[in-house]
Amino acid sequence: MTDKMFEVFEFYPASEEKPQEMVEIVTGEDTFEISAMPEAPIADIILAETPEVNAAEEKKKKRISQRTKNRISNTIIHIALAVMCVVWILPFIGIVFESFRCESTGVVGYILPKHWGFDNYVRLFKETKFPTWFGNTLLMGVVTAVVQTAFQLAVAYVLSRFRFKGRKFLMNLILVFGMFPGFMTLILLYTWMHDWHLTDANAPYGLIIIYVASSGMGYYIAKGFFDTISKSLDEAARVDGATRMQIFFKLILPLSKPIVIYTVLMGFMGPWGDFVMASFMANNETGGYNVAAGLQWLIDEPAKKDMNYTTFCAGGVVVAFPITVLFLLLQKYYVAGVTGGAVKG
Amino acid sequence: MSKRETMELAIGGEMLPMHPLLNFKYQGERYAAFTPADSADPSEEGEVALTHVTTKIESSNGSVDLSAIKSNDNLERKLLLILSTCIIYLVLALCISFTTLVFVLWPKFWWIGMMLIIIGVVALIMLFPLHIAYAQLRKQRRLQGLQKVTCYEVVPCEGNDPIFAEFEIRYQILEKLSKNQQLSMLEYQRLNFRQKFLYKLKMFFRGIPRWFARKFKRLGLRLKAFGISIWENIKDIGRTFKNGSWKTRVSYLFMGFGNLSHRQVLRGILFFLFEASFVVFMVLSGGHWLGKFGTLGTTAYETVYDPELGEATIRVDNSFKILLYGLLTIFFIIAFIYTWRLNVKQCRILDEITATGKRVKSSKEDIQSLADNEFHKTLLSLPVLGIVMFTVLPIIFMILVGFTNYDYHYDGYGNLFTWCGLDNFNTLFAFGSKLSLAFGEILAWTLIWAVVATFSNYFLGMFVAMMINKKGIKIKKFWRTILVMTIAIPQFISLLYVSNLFAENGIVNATLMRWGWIKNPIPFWGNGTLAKVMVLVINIWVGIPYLMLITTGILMNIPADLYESAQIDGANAFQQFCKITMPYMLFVTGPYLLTNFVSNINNFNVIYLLTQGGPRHFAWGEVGGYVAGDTTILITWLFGITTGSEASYKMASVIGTLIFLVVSIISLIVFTIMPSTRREEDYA
Repeated sequence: MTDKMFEVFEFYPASEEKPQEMVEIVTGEDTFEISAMPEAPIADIILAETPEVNAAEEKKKKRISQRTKNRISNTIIHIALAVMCVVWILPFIGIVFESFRCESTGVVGYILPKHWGFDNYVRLFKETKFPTWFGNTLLMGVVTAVVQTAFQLAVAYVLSRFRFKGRKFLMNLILVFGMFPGFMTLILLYTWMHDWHLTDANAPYGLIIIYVASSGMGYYIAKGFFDTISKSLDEAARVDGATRMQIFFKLILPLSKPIVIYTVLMGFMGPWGDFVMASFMANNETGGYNVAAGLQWLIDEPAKKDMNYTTFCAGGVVVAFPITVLFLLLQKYYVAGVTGGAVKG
Repeated sequence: MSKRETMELAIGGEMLPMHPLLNFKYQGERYAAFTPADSADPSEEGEVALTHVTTKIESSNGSVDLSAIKSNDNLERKLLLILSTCIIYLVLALCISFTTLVFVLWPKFWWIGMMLIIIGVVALIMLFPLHIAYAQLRKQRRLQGLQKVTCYEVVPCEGNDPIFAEFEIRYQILEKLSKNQQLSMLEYQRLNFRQKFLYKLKMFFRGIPRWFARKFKRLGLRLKAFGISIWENIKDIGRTFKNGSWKTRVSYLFMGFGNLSHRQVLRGILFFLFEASFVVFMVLSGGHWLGKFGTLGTTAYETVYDPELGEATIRVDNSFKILLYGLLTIFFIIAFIYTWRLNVKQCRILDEITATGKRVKSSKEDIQSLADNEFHKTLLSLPVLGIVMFTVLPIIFMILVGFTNYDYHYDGYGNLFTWCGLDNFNTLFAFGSKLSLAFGEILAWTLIWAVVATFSNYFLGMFVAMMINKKGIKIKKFWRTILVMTIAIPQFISLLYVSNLFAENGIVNATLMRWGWIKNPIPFWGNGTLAKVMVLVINIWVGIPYLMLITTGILMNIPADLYESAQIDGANAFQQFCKITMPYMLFVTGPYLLTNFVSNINNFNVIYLLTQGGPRHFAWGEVGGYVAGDTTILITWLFGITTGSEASYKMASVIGTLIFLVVSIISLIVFTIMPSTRREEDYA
């Protein structure tokens, strides 16, 4: 309460007469009401105080100078934004150019290729295991997206709607264990999965289990969304005789389309970028890599980099293109999820 | 100066407007407390000491004269005061004695001594204000007249005759704007910018001891509650056995018997199956693992004589498995104890239900309720199982590894590993050693990196969002889409490309050389300082689109009339930003900033893909076959140690634990400071 009320009052620049005005308004009243009082009356008083004389002329002058000022600043901002966009987009254009470069395969000091062609793409699909990697990643992406969504929504819904013994404990458990770096457990997970023959060439299956198993810990964003759906809806449905399960599936889920799509999108995109777990689990067995581990493996030594750098860029384009299109199509939902998550923490 | 006021108020009714100087507040019907009103004449502001209060209560029964000024110095507060003093001296004495002991007897454990000193200093810093705070609280209560004045209970007379109480209050104005006084809102507004800042700072530091006092109190209460609940459980188990039917008593040994005999077939069978599987597991393997848990195995190989094959070497123990399955067994035992307790409780409830002649829930109803009132159990079962098996268990396992000598050489297979206490922490903190030097520098860089990365992204991202949001900017959607697109492209592609862009033979160097601006390539990744700056700059490049997205939505939520009225008052853009945008943004995105900070501490991708932690520092020596470098942060160090050619899992685990400590301490501090994080249950 107090914090907010300070902020409201801070917005008025410190001038000589105003505080006293406020005091006069205020003194007659109960102190508590001041804090709840909207700022409008004060603004009115300030307005009323400005002299009417010459007001029109000055306003005109001000408006003109304001307009030119605005125009200048807008031009500057437009230029700045254009420069920024170039800086942001240039590396990606660079990757595309590299992928079409035919005269050499290593890192070079110029952007535009001297000979254009599809050599790198041909090499990517014929000479490397890229199709396998792509298949692996696609499989992981689809399965993870489905199961992770189910898990995250389940946990988020329960923590948002149910009050049961151990709820606080569960939330604290997830909070505390979420603070440990996940890489710590690499060696244990590898050994474990190795016992079940889910590493090396079978790494994608082991990775799916690892991705999915802990996904309940990322419930925060979905919970924040469920919290915003009014509970009186649930109660109304309960009165009408719906069970909790029916409420979840028939009422809440249809209302949560943005967050469902966001969770699916995140689950799908996760495996495409993860190369730590993927390379560790596959353990030098290139057949079990995902695209990230595989493409990184192509250029992880200087000699290999000279051989494969353009191929790597071609792979990057092939991977980035579908994801970017998907992402741009579902951008609306991504923004909703990210913004909601940021506000609610 | 002393003043004398008389006032009237209706007991039990609404507060009547009184003399402007004093402001009565009702606290229930029996208590009245009063404070000097905020609207007091400014010349008389200051602490007010009550010197005398008389209460005269008039009712139709006649009038009662009460002379009452009750002191609020109750025993509890005095005890707390004494206790806090005692604790301070006790903690100090303990710390000093232990520190001396450690330094003299085990110089190797110097870091424990250092920790003790830090605890001592912290205790001094924290407890002493606590002590002072209580002393001040007492003084303040007395001075400001906040103490409760007992209003003698008055029985309302018949009819609607109001009862009037007349308070005569004498008070003294002691001191103008005392240092201890919290300002009212109006007083706060009169301060200038510097004073406001100082005031906020002061209030913040004054809040710390109060926070600690609250935390200690809550911790104590929680511990007490925990102890009580355990004791109650034990008592309840005994009571149930004593009072229960024979069926209940049998189910102490055979779980689920009580449920079965009350025709709760499903529950009974589940309980029984759980017990059976527990017994079988313990007999077959659990006991074996648990027995070796203390040593983590003694013999790696054994030579046996096989009549068919002759002499053969077989593997006996595997430390890794003993540690893992031993831990699993402990988990299982805890689960069993919990289930057993549940079983006993259910038997008691069943006994009670049948005693009152009610019907017990059937198995069918049990299953139905799993879709209804118990739906959360259905939903949570799999995710929580996953979290426990793949996060909680592995992390506890890895913490334990930090107390063993598990590494590339002692792999628990050929060479067994075993418990080694705090040796690994000793190695890491060994005074003046290469490793401790490396650790100190890496920790410092990790923190610098996290702070700079978080705030640079935050402010620049907000700045970009504001530029795009500004009135009069065209094709807003286009600018946004371009930036958002860069989020979609997996980081390993863009970062690896950018890292090659700045390589010695990369495009940037080549172009600059072609233009003749430089003669030799700039070692972007070869020079420590330059690499650090580059990593930070490129992280801005990575992070701005995210922040732009997040802040755009929030910025648009700020009411436009705030800006309008600020403009009318003549505030320029910068003032508007400082006074409107920033407070609002910080308030709303506070939790996000914390999350972002934590994720930056663990920001593996940017560092690893750009520099792999280099340029290497060979002076630091290698750990697990990995040489850390200038841009190495804790998480990449951990990864390097785990995956290096001579992986040292024990050190990786120690570093992981330390990352946890750093993250949790920072989160704890931030959570307590930020106002917006405290409202987590607001929607609940």
